[in-house]
Amino acid sequence: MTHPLALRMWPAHLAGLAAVATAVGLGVWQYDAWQARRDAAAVDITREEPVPLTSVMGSDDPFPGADVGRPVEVVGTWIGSGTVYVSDRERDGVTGYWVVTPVSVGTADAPAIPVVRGWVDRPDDAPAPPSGDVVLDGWLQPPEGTGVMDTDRDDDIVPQVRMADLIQHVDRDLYGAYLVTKEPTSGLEQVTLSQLPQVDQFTGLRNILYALEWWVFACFAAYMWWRHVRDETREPDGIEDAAAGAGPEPAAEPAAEPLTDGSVPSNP
Amino acid sequence: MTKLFTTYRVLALVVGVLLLVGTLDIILKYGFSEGSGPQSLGEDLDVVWLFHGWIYIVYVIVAFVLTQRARWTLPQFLLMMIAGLVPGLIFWVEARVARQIRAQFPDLQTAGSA
Repeated sequence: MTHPLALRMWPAHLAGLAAVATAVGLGVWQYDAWQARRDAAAVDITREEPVPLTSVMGSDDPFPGADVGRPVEVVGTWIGSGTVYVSDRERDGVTGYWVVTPVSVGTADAPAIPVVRGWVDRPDDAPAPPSGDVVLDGWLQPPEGTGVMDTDRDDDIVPQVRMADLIQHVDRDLYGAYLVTKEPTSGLEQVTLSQLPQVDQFTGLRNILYALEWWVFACFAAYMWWRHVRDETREPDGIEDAAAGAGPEPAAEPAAEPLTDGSVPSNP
Repeated sequence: MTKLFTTYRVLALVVGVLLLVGTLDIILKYGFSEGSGPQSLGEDLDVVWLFHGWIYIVYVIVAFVLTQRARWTLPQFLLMMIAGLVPGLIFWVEARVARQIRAQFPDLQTAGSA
């Protein structure tokens, strides 16, 4: 009986290892490509030309799901008195605040949309709220709201960009959405989008299927490897038994004299 | 055995054809200038590799079971495996395998050619 680690088994081990490693590696490569494709597709919409906010949604409309992250242009007036600070916002590992000021869309008394003007580590460090007319570009984001309550309704700090909370701080109707401005107010840091567009589920489908394919192949290669080692290292008298039990219909097939080159000897 | 043999032959044919289409795809894709008609046809044909890959896996497994039943050696199986990756080779290998299987299992003489 040959030991599994005998010298003459090493070429088989190397071949098996190489085959499995190659297949796994190619699968990982395709998996990475799949993720890269989806990330790229998610970012694509955020790079489009801005369209007027009013062409995407009205103040009473539900959030248009297909427009998450779409750049929009708002022409309106700052409502500086409505400025709030959204707590617990991380940026480069530092927890700080988003500075949010509503902009009335169109005329000065029209419904407003909250605009994230940027990030600051303490509300006291934030520059004074802006006023006057403004034209700004920003990315459209759906309102937040996962049930975190505003524990202190009297200050201007809120836990989330939730319309029910924000409406307490401004005497105006609000859009069911908010914007992240493309150019933060000076003194504030740029905020990264918390919600990127949904990617079509078929994006990169081919890559993930290739990845699975390679991994299935890796399993098969490992199986072949294991079988080869088992066959080579088995006790000689065990071969007949195993062969007899290998197929579901071994007796039904009269094994004729094989003509194949190098095939196994025929049954006795 | 008859079913297995027929399955093997059908799969070999499908893999062989897909491989030829895939080869055509590569020629179109890389042999023509970017944006030209044949080149974009090549881009669209890319999907053939996906089908080839999955059917090839099934082909390899069926070929493996077949070689086990017929009690052939590993190199025989490896040849059948490689045949699914080299354009055109599989048609020759399939004919060879069919000839050997029929010689080894005379009962298949009629069933296999149906």
